[in-house]
This record gives sequence, C-alpha cells and structure tokens, in this order.
Amino acid sequence: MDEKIIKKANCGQNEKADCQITISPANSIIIEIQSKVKSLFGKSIERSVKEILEDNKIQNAKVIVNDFGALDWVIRARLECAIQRAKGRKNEK
Amino acid sequence: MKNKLRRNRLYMPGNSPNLLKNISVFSADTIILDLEDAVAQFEKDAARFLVKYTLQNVDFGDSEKGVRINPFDTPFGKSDAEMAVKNGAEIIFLPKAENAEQVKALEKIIGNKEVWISPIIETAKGVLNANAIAAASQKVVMLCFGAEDFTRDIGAERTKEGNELFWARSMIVMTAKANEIQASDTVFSDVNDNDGLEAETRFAKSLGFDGKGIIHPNQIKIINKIYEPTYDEIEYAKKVMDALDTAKKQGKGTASLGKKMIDKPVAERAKRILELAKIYKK
Repeated sequence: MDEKIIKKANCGQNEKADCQITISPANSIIIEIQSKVKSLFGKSIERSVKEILEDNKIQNAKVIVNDFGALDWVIRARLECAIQRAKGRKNEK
Repeated sequence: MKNKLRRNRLYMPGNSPNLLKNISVFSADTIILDLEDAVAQFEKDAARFLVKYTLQNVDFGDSEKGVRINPFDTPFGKSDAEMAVKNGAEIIFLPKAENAEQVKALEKIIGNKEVWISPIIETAKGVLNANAIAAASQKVVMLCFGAEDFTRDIGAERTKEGNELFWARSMIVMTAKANEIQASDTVFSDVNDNDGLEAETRFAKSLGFDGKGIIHPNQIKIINKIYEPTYDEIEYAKKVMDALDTAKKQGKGTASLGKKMIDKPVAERAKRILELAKIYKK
C-alpha cells in the first residue's frame, strides 16, 4: 500500500557533515536542494532522495535538502527518518 | 569473536554524522554507536536511522561493531535491538542491566545470529544480580561497569579515588571471571586528564578488568599501553610454553618450570600474553 505524507516534518541538524531534510505534503514529487556542492553532487543527491522515496512507497511529497557536506548515507538516513515522522496510511487523517 | 581483545570500548554519539564517518581511523577494539545517553529523547528515532546507515556503510576497520541500545523499559529498546541485529552489529550493549529477563529478551531478538551481548551493570540491583545476568545467556561475553549511574543509584559521590566503587568493581570482575567472560571497567569521562585515565586504568587492570570504556579516541593509546605485556612477562610466557611443550614430548602429564608446577591458569595466562605480544608487534 502506498504511504502518504500527512504533515510537515524535519530531520537532521545544521552541523558539519549533516543535512536538514524537510518533507511536506504535495501533489507530486518536488525536490529542492541547497548545497555548496550542488554543481558537483546535486544530481546524486536528487537520485538518492528519489530512491528513498520510492523504497518507502511515497508518491507525492515536497522534499527540501539543506546540505552541510553530508555523505550519501547520511542524507538517506535523515530522509528516511523525516518520512517516518511525516507519514501515515492513506486512509488515516 | 567471543573472546576478542576488548581493551577499550569507544562510545560514539549515535546522532553525529561528523564523528561517525571517521570510525575506521580510530583503531578502537570495540566501537559503540550510542543510542542511549548520548542521544536526546526527541532524537532517538533519528539516531536509530543514522546508526542503521552507519552499520551498513561505514568501514569499521578491525574494530568490533557495537551498539548501545536504550533499556527495554523505554519505548526505544526493542526497536533499537531489532535494528542493530538486522544491520550487522557484532555486539550489543544492554544498559541498566538488572536481571536475567532483560538479557533473555535481547537473546530472543538476536536468535541464532552471531551477535554478542554485553550487559552494563550500573545500579545496586544490577551488581547484586550480576551472576544471574552473566549466566542468563551463552551470548554474554563481557560485563561492563557504569559508575556514573551507579554512584547516583547508591547515593554516593563519585570521587577520583573511587572508594565508593571498589566493592562493585570487584564483584563485577569476580562474576565475569566465574562465568569465564570478560570484564570492562567504567568510562573515564575527563578527556583532559590523561594522568587520571592512566592511574584508573592501571587500578582497573590490577583488579582483573580486561579493558575500559572511553569517550575520546585520544584515550585509546593510553589504555592499550597499559595492557601491553612487558618484556619480562613475554619471556616468562615463552618459558612456560616451552616447558609445556617439552613435557608433552616426554609424555609427562604435568609440566614444571624450575620448582614450580605449571597449572592450567598459568598456561592460559602465558598463552594470552603471547597472543597479546603478537598484536602489539603489528
């Protein structure tokens, strides 16, 4: 069953090697990335975000990644936690 | 490995990516990704996800992969343990261990996977039930002592001399050795006091502890130095092994060195010292 983002949630801290992820309800997948290394790693961050959303069966959500030099697995961990904090079953209010 | 060398166990806060990404360079005997005291209540879920990805992605080098879960009487303990077992932890540290049931609950989650248990004894009840805790499962390989919570529990002040800890420390060592497992002393938390760390580690070693908890990688070297066998110890151990070898070749049931008979504990200690010497030679 598809999971639904029912509220806005954050995860991660404004610290070196970390990132802050904000996820909120939307009608499609919208990904915004703020990172000093966006020109180099922007595509790779976007790909990881899409993979995690897919793994978690999220079809609609707005994800903002504010990156402070996080490694790929850190971004994945923070996003997965943000999803857990924001989601509910489709028939839930 | 059940009887792995565990001279130092280094706690790393489970919700700090900047520290977790560098784990392999520390060369700690055991790294403990901490989900308990180092993590704020409202970040317990975030830390669990981060520790999961750390276990999956970070190179631990030769360090044993450890996780300290939250106690089972919190809403986090069970999920922490399930995550750790599923993602390749090699040893789980069980805080506030007070009875055999807690150990058995963790053993049940581990199932038949090769994941060891190290209960942390840090209350009066825990000290008095140490034997039941150690004997609760074949998975238990080490008892740890936690002095901060222990002094709070018994209503004593924590001092540098540590008189208030003496009986508990001895009890934990006795219990561990009677159950043929390791004992690890409490964390030394003043990272600026290396002399204090050295003195406390020497004392812990003299009581029979196999290692000690630490919170900073700079403390590793100091502890390892204290556990390094001396030249005399190595030479004596070699003589013991030679004597055992000679006796075996001659078909004798017992061996002796000079006028002293070599009994089992002496032989085992010699073997352990030579193993240690090899590790330090690396």
